[in-house]
Amino acid sequence: MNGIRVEALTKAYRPMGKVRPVLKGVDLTIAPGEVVGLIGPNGAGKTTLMSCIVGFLNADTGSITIDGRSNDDLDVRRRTGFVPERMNFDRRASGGAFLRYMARLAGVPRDRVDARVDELLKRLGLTDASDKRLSQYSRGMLQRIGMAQALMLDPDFLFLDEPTSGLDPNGVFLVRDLIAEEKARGAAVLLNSHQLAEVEKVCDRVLFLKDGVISRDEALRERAKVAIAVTLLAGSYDLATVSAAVGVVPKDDVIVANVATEGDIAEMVARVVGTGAGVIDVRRRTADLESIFRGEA
Amino acid sequence: MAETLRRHFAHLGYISALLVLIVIVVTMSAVGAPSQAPYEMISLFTLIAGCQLIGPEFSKGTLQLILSKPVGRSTYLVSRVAGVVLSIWVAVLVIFASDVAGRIITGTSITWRNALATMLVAALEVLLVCSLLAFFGSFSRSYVNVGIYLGAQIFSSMLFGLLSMMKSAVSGEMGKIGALLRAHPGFLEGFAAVRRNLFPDNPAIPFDRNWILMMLCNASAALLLACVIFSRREVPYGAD
Repeated sequence: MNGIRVEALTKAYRPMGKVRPVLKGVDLTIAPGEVVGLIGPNGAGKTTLMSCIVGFLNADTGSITIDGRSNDDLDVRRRTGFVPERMNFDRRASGGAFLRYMARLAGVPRDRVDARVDELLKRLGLTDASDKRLSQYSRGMLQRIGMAQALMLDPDFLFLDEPTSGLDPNGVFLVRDLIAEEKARGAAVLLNSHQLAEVEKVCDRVLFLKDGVISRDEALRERAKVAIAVTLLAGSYDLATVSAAVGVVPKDDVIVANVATEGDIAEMVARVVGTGAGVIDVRRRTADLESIFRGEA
Repeated sequence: MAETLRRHFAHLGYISALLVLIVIVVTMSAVGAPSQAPYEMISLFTLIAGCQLIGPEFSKGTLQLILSKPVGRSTYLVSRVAGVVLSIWVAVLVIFASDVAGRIITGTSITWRNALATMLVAALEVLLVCSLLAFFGSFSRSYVNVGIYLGAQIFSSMLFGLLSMMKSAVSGEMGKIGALLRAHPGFLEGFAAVRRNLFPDNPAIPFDRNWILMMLCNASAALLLACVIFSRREVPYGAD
């Protein structure tokens, strides 16, 4: 199975004939089993990008393929799940009725609809709310039922727009677990979120969208990109000697460096200790999304 | 389609309107009103139900959820129109049944051929109006489709009246336009034909085959155009 591929995507809005470019040549790929976060300031074009990929908006130029096919191919749509930021539907329908309708639209065989809906309600912790009208659902419950409809056919491609917005901590943990399960199943996941801590926890890679282009593509789980922080005992080392030994200048008694393997961590610590410096702490750090965001935004 | 029907049948406004229709129709038939009189109310019914064909789905964001599923846009649109048309046809049937019942109860005479022909006319008008509303809705926003439909109906009728008047004018600026219209009679005839097709009058004879064919063709054409436009239409949601 191929993943999601976007090449040289451009999109402009034309309010009152005035051209306002939003996406100015976006390239991205998401491999099967990969969770990619999409972050960026408001107005950067994140929702527009997701809308183009899902097929709600037409790209001006460029191409979007999902598993090598066009994004509006119905077979691709059958293998796609989409969770909107706000779940909107006939609020008079019950949660169960809504999911049954979504199941029929998704093409779940008639004799499997009830069983599949019950499964999803249970998985999302909504069994007791099955007969309640959607108008009586809290924001968090609506988010969860939105997630349930997206998982109807165990999608290979999952698009999530702020899935944890409005959720309580238990809901957040649930969504996190679901994303991990989908990833383990081999689904390619694109997560659009403003919650950096959440993105950092669940994503393998993060794309920073700014001014209509991907300005940074940061791997969060790749070892080569994992930084380590070695904290030195103040006054126990000579700055020049340590700098020469490890190739990095300590700042506030902390050496922050990128290493490729776990063996490299041990080697670097040995080199520091070899200069006579006292090491009081060694930590592995993933790329700090907050600093990336501050730096890019 | 089933979902559209479910929403209508579960809507208190729809059920109340049906009940009011029954009372009015039985009363009208009891006093011997012509069979086609109660069907006039169906036009209002059609406009109310038809304005919700696509428009509000955009505002509510429901459409995005549906279009993310493996459903062709044309399939969705046609089934929406079918659902709305069927729900109004139920009202047409209710009117027919109430009319017949009212006449039987009060002993008023029934001309079955006329009664059936009137019901068919109402049913076909519903089909055409809903198809036109789907067409106008395929490129406009919520509820605007009804505005365009009514606007086009009023404007075309005013314009046709004005042009017909001008055609016989012989002096002044009006006379110049009149001369132009007399020199090119095809213009006014074409305009009249478009009006007749979009906003047809009732047929002169019951079960007029040409009229029935015209209604079916026009409804199909409107629906086909609606599908073509809707399949390329953008359905934005949310904001960045």
